[in-house]
Amino acid sequence: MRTIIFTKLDKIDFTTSTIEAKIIESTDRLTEENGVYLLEDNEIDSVNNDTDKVFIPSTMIETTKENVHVYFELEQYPFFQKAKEVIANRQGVLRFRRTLPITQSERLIASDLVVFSEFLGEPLDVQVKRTNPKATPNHTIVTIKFENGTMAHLEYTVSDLYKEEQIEFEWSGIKQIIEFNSEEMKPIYPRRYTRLPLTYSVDSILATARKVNQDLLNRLEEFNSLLSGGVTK
Amino acid sequence: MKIGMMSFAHMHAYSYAESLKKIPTVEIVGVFDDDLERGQEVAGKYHTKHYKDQEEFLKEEMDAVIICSENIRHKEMVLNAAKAKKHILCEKPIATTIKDAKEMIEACEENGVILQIAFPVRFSSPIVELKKLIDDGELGDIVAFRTTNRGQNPGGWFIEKNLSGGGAVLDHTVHMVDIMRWYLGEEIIQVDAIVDSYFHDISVDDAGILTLDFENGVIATHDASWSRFAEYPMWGDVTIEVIGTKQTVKVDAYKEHLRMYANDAKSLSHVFYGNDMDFGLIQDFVECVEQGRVPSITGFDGLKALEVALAAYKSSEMESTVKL
Repeated sequence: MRTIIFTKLDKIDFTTSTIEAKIIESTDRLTEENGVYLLEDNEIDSVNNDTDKVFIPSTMIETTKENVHVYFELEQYPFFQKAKEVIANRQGVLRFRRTLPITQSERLIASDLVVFSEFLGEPLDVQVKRTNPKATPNHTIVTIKFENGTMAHLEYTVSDLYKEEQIEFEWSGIKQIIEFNSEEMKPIYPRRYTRLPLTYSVDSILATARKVNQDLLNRLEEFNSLLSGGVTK
Repeated sequence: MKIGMMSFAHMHAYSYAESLKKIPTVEIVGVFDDDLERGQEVAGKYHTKHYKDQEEFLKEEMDAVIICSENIRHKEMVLNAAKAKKHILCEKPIATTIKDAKEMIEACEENGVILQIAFPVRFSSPIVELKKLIDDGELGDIVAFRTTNRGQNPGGWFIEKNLSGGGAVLDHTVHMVDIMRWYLGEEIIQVDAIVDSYFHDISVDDAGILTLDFENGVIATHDASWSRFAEYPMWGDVTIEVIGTKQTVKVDAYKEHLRMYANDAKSLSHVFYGNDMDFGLIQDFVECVEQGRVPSITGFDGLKALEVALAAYKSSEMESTVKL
């Protein structure tokens, strides 16, 4: 059985991937019967069989299928994995911010909400505010109170004018403050020479992905409608 | 110019007094403080006279007073100083209730004295530079703000609600609301907030997140807290990010620092070397009194900032949006 991973290829850190994965341009090139293959996520519609084990990003999930697994991009980032590991007490203030070189962010926000709710508990109170969709950049503010005691602002600024994605993560906890800014944490200067730290490994995708089921689809749908609907209290 | 200090309950009084000393044309003519020990000590420090009686102090010849009392006493001191025809610089927040703030503004108008509110962030060099960029159209139209003002728990009367009127949200919301209003020239019409106490075993709030709507559709977030602890490299922060249609610009008012490492309980310190915004505030107030002009930060500015902070508490309590 083949393992096919749809992803943004420039996000894969091959240095930290121990699983040998072959990059292929399209499914036409899939001639072998076994192995792990990486394809750009815009090729996602090209696989339609039940024999391959398929991994897709959560923002592209449409229906349940026996052989399809979904992974959440935020969960892949080493900074996020480490932050989850070191945050001892969930009581505190979270400020999370993405700046994205795209125009649509709803599915990504819904995916992030799944990840954060698994980490911080059920969202008890969610409010969504956004700027005029006709104006660029478009800014969305999600204000959330999680059941484990976290209050959070998740913010997304999207514009096709941006050249590169940026993530800021700030945690103000009890005697614990965590600060991360992907732009400041680039380990190479001039910064344009690296995609680090917003990269992840093939191993991470395979380790964190989960089988698509109706519950997961419902969860994403719930957050998607929340984002289009506004406030839930 | 003769200036008197009314109370050193707020720690900013020390910085303001130091600033006054740097201005050659200004004389600190006296300190009123009914905490006798503190009053005598600071009077000695600043080589001036201590008054334990407010009425007696206000009978003295002076052009202006700087009020740095507990929040709850701002009203009493402003009303008395205005009646005594002294121009006033009042520490923020202007008051603890809207009614008190309005009464203070009216009293100053009726007595023809200046009422300036102490929002020193307006005098931070990078904050001023960003204002100029906005005014010059470099950011295009503003679509959103992101702001923070997080510091350490000041303790003392700040955590006694009957003296402070509120905790971190009242203490650390008004500055950045003032800056956003100043940048945009628009008012906030809607406030949503979550307010809680996480970091200290105290009866007032020490954390809050606010989501704000301006009348022209601009949206904003603000993070106000006393979440910073003694071992954190600096006392706290003041940041603002302005998202505009042409570009996004972020300012960190305390970014200009040296990183100092020490073999101590606090291994890393950020040693700030940027401009002294308190001095900027005092210099502006002195000029304002000298020139008899409208203050750069009015009582109305103080009132509008207070409205938002109080609305945040109400929103959190009611778990709903508060319209202003």
